[in-house]
Amino acid sequence: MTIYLDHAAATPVDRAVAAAMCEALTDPQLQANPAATHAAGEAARGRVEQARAEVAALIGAAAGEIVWTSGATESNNLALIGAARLRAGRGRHLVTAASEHASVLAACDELERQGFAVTRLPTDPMGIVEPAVVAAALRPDTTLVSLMQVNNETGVVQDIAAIGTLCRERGVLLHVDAAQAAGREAIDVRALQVDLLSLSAHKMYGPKGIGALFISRETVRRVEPVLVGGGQERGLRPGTVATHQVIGMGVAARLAAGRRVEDCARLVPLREALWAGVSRLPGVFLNGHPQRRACHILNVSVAGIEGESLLHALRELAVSSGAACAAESAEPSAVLRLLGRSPELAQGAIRFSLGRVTTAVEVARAVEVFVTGVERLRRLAPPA
Amino acid sequence: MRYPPLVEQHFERPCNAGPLAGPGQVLRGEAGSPAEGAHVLIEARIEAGRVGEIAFRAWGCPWTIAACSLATTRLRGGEAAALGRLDPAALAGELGLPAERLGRLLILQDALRNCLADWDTTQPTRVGQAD
Repeated sequence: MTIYLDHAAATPVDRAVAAAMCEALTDPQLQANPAATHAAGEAARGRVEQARAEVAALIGAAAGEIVWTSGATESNNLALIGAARLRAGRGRHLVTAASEHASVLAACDELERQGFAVTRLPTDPMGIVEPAVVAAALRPDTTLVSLMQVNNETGVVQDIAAIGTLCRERGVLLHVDAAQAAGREAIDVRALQVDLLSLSAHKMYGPKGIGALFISRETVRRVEPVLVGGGQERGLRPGTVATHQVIGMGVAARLAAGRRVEDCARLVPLREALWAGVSRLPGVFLNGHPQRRACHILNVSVAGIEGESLLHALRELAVSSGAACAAESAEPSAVLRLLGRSPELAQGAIRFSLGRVTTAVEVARAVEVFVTGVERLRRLAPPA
Repeated sequence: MRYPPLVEQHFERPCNAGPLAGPGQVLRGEAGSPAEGAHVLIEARIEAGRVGEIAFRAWGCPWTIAACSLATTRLRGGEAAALGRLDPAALAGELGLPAERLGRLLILQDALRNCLADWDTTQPTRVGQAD
């Protein structure tokens, strides 16, 4: 039986979420297009708006500031490309970090092809993007800063509040990819002074294929749509709203808001037990800041072992490798290289990510599997 | 990632893994590095022109470890000159190795050739070779 320790990639759908989605898919009263003006449409729309309010409540926003998307990747695209294009008359410079998710970095690449300039900030060896470094990168023509609250590989938490303050002072919009933060870190878009914020349901025990973008009605009001078509979501994201998906995300958001503190209080000791167990071996290094990290992620580099073999030796565990080893030309994790890890240590990395269903017994077994696998592969390796 | 059963078998229970112990001269051939994606060390003991014992150590992906295990199994007991005649394409076919991983087998081929070269340097003339 596989022990699932890959919650940063996808969380299992909560039973309450699945039940609500099943109801939405089978209830004859909820089958109409939620954009329709007849009574059946209104019924579906009512549930969609309830879900919107639940997602908004998770991040301290108003319901009208939430736009449905297919997930954080689309939200990131819409936020960066949509906001940058709409503000192109004011400036054509963006600031992000080199450790961001591929969907942010790829959106920046696309904007560069369209004539925008992008500054990609490095992290320090702990994975932190210091607010002072962000401040120094701002230019008179900077319109947007985009940073993730919790890094998806290392779990390192950025000081969004401080960055929000400096962005607000300089009149620069702040977009935050909060896909990993939702349900783990406190998110209050007003207190953090965030203008745009991306969420994915499947990172917080909701279904895959649905996400949301928060667009502040005070500071942003609108972004330029990336997709064209119908007028749904105030014209910002055309396409029929998937009633059952958004209902699922709404329930997941409500549960995340209610369980966040309890979930984290349970996960931190489990994560620390995992670290204590795996770090008994020599040559096992923690990637990222030892304190400033989310409750669910533990990323370690293992000296003297090839990443793909390590991952295969640990196949009783569903974990992710820091090694991008699927192709001959693939490079080790750029995020870990930013921390100063050598190519060997960057490719020999494992990300464990824990969740609501993770037990102490599973963590103990994971340690056993890890220690056995690492020792076996080290015995196989030639002297360095 | 899923691997063919033969790769799984040799990764899980590799044959001839570890340092070569015991008396007598041990020949060594090494190739590759972590930067190249694989690092292979072959050790062998040649007896009367044949591979009496052979062992490998490898830093590499499961394909690399399986290839080392299978190749050394085939070479054990054979004539020493076969160390220099590994056919990477044939071994790749047997393992079901993806084309983009063929470089791993070239590293194994180099390590075996270096092992044979190590033996050659110790022999005035190769056993079985005409003066």
